[in-house]
Amino acid sequence: MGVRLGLASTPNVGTTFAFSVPLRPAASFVRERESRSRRVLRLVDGHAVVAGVIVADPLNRGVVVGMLRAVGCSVVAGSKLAELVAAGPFDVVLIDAPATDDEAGATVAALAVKPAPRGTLAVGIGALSQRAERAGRLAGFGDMLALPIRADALYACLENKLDAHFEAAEADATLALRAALMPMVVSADLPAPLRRRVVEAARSASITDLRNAIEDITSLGGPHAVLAHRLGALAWNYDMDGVLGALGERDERDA
Amino acid sequence: MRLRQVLTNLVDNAVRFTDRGAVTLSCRRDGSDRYAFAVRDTGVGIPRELHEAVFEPFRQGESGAQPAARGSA
Repeated sequence: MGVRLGLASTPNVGTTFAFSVPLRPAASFVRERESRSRRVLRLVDGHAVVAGVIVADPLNRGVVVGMLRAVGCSVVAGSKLAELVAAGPFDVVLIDAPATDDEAGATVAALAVKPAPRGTLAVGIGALSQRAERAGRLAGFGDMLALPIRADALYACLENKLDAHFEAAEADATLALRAALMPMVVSADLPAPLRRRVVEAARSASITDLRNAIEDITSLGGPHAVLAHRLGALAWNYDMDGVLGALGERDERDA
Repeated sequence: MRLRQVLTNLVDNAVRFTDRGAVTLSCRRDGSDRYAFAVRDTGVGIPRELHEAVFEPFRQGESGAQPAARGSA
């Protein structure tokens, strides 16, 4: 197994047992790295996805809708379940995570009234507590996504649960392309505190924090306004790797 | 590999055979995919003639009122 052992000991002075082992990241961590190393571009032809979104918070709703439309999904958004179901059928409905067992059951029952040919996948979205996740899973939700929503998690859900197929590009290639197209952005001299806020928001995929930081960059004016415009475009597409790349702050986890 | 069990046994041994001083567990990265662990104590120590045998299962030095040596299990 490649284990190296060592022992050093002196009577009445002390002992040191030492060993070294080859350790690799757990499988789940490897899968996460692999998913982060590719960037989903769009649905493959013939893999249409019709999605319904029922999220009460307008900002979160806009984020989810934008992520889905960015890859070619047809999306209907609303705030009331009954109205949305009437507009169906949907392949997937992304909905605020249920707070109780009864609420979860009622949601799944409502979606069953007008299902898509292969059924309607219910996906809960929220600051998931164990109770909420348990309620959703037991009621028949196919998946639960935690806030802040990450594009890679959403697309992975569609791939795994709906068998949707996406065209994707390697992250390295897209980063290289961006670097070639945006030298002005890369060279912009951003104040350190603002840079730190943008980087932290991008790394945690916090779209709210990111947009607030970009607004503050916009208010600086001059070349920073240009940078803010570029970052805003990337943020609008939920391209967090792009934001980091534009600042020359590639996430080490992707290296 | 039962890394947690190995470390627990080593630290447990170190604490049992250290009347005063300290027991230190350290871990550092050793190359790209290796990790090195060390359990250091200020205890009674192990006689040199037992060093070779100390990694054998269930091997322990002679016991008495004052433990003279210990094994890895």
